[in-house]
Amino acid sequence: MTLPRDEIEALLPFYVNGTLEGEELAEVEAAIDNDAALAADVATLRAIRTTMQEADTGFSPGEMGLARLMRDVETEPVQLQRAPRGRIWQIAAAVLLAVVIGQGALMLGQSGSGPGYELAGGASADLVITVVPNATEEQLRNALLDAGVEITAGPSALGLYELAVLDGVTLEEAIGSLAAATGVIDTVEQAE
Amino acid sequence: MTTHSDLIARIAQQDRTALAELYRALEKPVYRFIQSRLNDPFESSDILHDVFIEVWRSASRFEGRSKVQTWIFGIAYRKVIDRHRKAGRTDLTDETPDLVDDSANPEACLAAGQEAEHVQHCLGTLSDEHRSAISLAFWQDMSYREIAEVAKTAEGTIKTRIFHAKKLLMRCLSGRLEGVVS
Repeated sequence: MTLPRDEIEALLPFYVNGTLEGEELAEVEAAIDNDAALAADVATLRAIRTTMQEADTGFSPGEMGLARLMRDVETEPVQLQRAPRGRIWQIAAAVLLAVVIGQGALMLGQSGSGPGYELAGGASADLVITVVPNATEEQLRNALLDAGVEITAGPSALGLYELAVLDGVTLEEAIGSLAAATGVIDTVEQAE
Repeated sequence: MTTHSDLIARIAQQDRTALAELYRALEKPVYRFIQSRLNDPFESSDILHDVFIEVWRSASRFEGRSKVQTWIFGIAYRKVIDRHRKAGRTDLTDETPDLVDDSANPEACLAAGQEAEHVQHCLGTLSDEHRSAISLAFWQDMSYREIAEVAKTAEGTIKTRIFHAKKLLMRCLSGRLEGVVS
């Protein structure tokens, strides 16, 4: 036998589920034929597997879960799904531009002579953010989930996202959480 | 027959009907896997939802180097770990209790009735990583290579987890049998 006994034992569940093949299968079969304890283990593992597979799976979300999924997919911002990695520098440039324009807009707003910046289609947004250029989609998603917000519009050409605060979360909590995500969220401001 | 890979390709093109078809095909096993690790049906439902949202978002990046099922279970595997970490769970390592004893006969335990209850109880005594490995091997009939892909770890690590999980499971079942007999 080439394989040590511990490895043979570790492979028994895969012998039982039928996924072993080639030399490993031959070695395990030979070991079982020559070792009553291994054969007993196989019988037990078969019984465990059968019991697990026959056990009632209980409640699962089923069609209710599918309806929820379809609802959320419907409102999923397509731009986030499709952002190709190669465009990261374009996004970075857009974010930088957004910061400059945003600051300019704020100055205009303070002087009372302009409307500030706007995003098309951003109904009932509470916050506007920009994202750190090298942040990943997963990091952004986690930051938004942690903050209890959802995207209502964006990213705009300037890299601005409009967010709505979800029920049960205060505006201050959301701002605090987003501001704390320093490696992901670049700027956070209340929507006009 | 439409394969899971065909569905992923359509999902990458924003085809919602393909997402629904994939959900219907895999919802139960993925949910069962999540629920076996969380033991909370509401949280498990949320994670299942998050898994399929991620499938929707990431389908265009699926490169086909693994089976679709392996990829999706991998997403579920990591989301449960994230949830455990947020909840401050500490049993996420490969540390193994030093209590292996093969003296009793667990096969007889399984033949004595109440099999599902015994097995479920004993699965519940395993660490998350041991339970995950056994669940994927016996519910999904995955090979150790596929389980390693799901857990993003070495094949040897999976063999080690399975080795310990098997020992602990059998010891637990033996203990249950002794309890029934005495």
